[in-house]
Amino acid sequence: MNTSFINRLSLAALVAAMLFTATGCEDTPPDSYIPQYVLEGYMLVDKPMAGIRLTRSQSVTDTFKFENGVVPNADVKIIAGGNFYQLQYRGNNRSGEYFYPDTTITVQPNTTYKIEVRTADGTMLTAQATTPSRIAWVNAPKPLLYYPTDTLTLPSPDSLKLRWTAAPGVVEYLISVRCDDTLEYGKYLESSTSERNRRIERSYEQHVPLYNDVSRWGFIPNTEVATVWSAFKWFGRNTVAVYATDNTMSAWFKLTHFGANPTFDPLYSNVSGGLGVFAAASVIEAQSFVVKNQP
Amino acid sequence: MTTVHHTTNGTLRAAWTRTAAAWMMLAAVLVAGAPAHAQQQTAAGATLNGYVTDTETQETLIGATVAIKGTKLGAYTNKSGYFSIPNIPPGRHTVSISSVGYERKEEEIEVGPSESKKLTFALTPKAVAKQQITVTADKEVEKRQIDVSRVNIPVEQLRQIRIGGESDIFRSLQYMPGILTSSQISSGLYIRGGSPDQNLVLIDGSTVYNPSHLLGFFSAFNPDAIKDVDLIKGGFPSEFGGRMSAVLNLTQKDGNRNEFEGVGSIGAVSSRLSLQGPLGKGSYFVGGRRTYLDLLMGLFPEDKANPFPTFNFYDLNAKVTQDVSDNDRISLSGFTSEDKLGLSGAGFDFNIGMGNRTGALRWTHIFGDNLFTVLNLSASRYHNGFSGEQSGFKTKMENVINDYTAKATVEWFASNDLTVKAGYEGTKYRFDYLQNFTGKDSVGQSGQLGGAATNLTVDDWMHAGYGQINYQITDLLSLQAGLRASYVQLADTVVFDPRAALRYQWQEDIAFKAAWGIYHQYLHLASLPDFSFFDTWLPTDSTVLPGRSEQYIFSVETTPLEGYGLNVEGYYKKLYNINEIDQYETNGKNVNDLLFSGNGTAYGAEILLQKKTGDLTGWVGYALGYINAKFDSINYGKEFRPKYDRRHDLKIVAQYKLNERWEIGASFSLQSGQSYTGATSRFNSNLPGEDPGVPITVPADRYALRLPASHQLNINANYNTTLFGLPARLLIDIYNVYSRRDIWFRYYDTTKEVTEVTDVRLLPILPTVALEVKF
Repeated sequence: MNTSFINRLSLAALVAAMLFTATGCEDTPPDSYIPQYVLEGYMLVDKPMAGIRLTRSQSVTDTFKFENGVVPNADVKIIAGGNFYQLQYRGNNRSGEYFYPDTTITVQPNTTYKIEVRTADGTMLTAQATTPSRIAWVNAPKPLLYYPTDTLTLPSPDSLKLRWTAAPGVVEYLISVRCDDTLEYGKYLESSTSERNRRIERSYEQHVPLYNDVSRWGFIPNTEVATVWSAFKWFGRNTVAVYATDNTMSAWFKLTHFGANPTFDPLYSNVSGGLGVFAAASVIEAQSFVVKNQP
Repeated sequence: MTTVHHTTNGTLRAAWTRTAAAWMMLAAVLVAGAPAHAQQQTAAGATLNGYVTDTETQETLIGATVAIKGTKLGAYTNKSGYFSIPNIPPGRHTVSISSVGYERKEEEIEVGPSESKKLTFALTPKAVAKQQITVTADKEVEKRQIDVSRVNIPVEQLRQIRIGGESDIFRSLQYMPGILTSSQISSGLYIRGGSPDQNLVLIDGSTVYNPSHLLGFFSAFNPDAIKDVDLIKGGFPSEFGGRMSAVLNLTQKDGNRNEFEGVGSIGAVSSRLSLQGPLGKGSYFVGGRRTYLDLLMGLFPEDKANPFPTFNFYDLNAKVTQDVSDNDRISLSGFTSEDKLGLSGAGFDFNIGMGNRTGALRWTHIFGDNLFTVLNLSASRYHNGFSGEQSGFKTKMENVINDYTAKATVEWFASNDLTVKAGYEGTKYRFDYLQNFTGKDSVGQSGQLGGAATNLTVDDWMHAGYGQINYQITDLLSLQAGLRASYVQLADTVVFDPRAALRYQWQEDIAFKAAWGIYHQYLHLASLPDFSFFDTWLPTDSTVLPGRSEQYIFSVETTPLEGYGLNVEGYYKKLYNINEIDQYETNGKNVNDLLFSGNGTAYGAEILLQKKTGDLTGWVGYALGYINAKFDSINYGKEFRPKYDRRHDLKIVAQYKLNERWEIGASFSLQSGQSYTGATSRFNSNLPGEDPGVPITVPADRYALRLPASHQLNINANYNTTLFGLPARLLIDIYNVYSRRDIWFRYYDTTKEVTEVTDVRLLPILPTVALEVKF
């Protein structure tokens, strides 16, 4: 081989090595994180002011524990119609919540609620939401729903269709189906039995992120919907609720429920000074007992 | 420098009227001077015009060189295979005709003073394109051809690049430097920082709005039906408009005028059949392709409890061409493609569909000997949507864009130094948006917008005119200059797109080229980043501005060795009013509600070393590119690079003809890793009653991180044989030879307490075999 050829070959190999090196660099995932406050609260018409959560975000490199993110000592106030409501904290098996102790005071429709949170380190979070008008059932869910024997091909008859009144200015509604007791079944029957509750298993659901959640949420740009059997995760006692939401809650639902592994986007958050959402909705609820019709 | 003219803004109107007037005056001076210029050259010059065809099929050849030996006279054939060479001195001449993949031919002609001679030259194809001896006359023709950023790869070479046994034009073009993909399984072309919707894709003059199959894995174009692939990566001339980045202009085959022939093939993904032959005073071509996995799955009993999705796609091309007279040719062509994905079982039924349908009537007429006109009437329809039913509750969504276009083009071969092209293009758009969440079949009232039902039709008109000259200023310097003006009715906006390109022949084998231009785009595409199923085209209404790019290109073209071409090119592109979809906006009332608008910049350099002739053909390409985007509503208003940004991009393609039986080839790509968004922290969100709720990650800077480099080697082999006496080929492919499973995307799996950084990887090694038979 002549020298010129070897030189050209060496140069080509060097350039190739440089290219491989340059293109081979992978950025390591970020591990530096700054804890941020996350506020999440919903003003639900005719419900007490409760369920407002204040937590700290946790590093993705740590094991996520609800108790590690708890912020129990913040000063949380809700202001509405010139009134100030000082909230208190109570713990639970998750992140705890802030609530107004006087449960006779309920959230009113067509009212603007402002929340102010001051944490121990001086961080200030604020947000605001306006509740819509009340809605009401036109056709509520039946108290007893016989889950069909043949679950594979079933239309839902009109008699089981859910209907509700419209709230002015609300175009999109949310619907949730929540199992109230995943363990007990027979004790709720007219003639009690010891039969236990069980899940309605569907093969295509087993790996979705919300598989373990007791509720299922849906999105309806309408004021009526069929009783969709696949909405129920468990037999037994379920609460069906329809929410007439403000735009903030509707946007937050889409951010958190459209697609797997959702990522925070400040465009869909209305909290100033932190992350999260403070939104409002009117809600109607009804209980249904989903009767097993299969062994 | 803006080019938007609003009828209510007198100041803006005045500024741009002056600019437009300046360009038009320049064009007028050049054009007015042309006859005088022509007269000065040869008072009694003859004209040679006609077509160059393939001797076996009589298909016209695009881009063939016709040159008069011993002179500087010559021309390339245009998209119709037509050429015209004026001002030939009377007497005997030798005409040299050549085209890649064909035997060079020389013919003696004799022309008298002012004679107009019309001839058709037929070239014989070669099994192996041998190295051509380039005559001086060819080089003189080449000097006039500015061709900035034009990808010139013969279709036969593009067909050799196969994925899973399937040839695909788009996947093949992705092996050119400067053309990126969103992933290895996507056929979308990201050209110099522009997204696929910024590319004008034409087939026989009809616009195709979503040229992809199988979630973007393949393009919708059957390679058997395509005669010519013309990709201009940037700096395209005034005859093209409506897009900001690039032009992909495909020409369908006319068909074999001599005899009937057909090709059929069976592959792992789809099967193809094409038929062509003589018809009257012309020819026909019909070709189709279909997957058959769904047909095979239909043979198995259905399991409603564990439903398996069904999927199929097909496409169909057809064309009829007729010579009405010596100077008139008419062709009628059509193309349709359809993708369907369905899932049925356990109480629900869900179907997604998308498809294209185009039809074009094209009439070419030759006036005299140097005026070539084309009238193209086309219609194009793209639709996508889904329908679902759960327990009798029905939902439906469908988006449709209809495009009816009339295009008239005049090409005047004024002299050897001057060609003038001008045209008009008028398009009627109809956009249909249907959304039905009522649960019933009814679609609601027309004009309804928002809520449970949307049934909206939007009509719009676009009128465009352009003028363009190709002028050889001196023996060494050529100019292409043009101006395109467009008016869109819905936005009541006039936009001007001036464009210019220069070529300077510095030395015998070294040419410098430069181009500049402004490019407006009236249509916006709302598209999910990874899947093309739900692409929705939107017009520019009064709430958004048209997209615009300004491009600067400089290149050096040379022949380092005989048979090799080397092109080094640098570009800089500014993008204005580019769009990203607001994925969670389901109740938008106008275009501005659905899209975020921002600006971008792209710049870089590309090197391409290409060998087109000989037993070994192929190319080596390297590109270095930078892309940045800035949106007020995204990434906190900070600049970020898009997902498809790849800093380094190396591609190598080689095809070698071993002998009459065997051809082997390989394609290799090495690219910087794709960008992704990291996450630094997580929290939990609970809607009322949700327990435990939804884990949410908090992102770091958008697309600020890179995945590992991506590289892949594919090899293919063709074995030529016979089957039942018919010529046949066995096509053997190995996709991803060393089974490197690149990362498709990375996400943070928060379903457990410990967050797992999880990678979804692409396909492993995939060997396939296909059989192709000719008859």
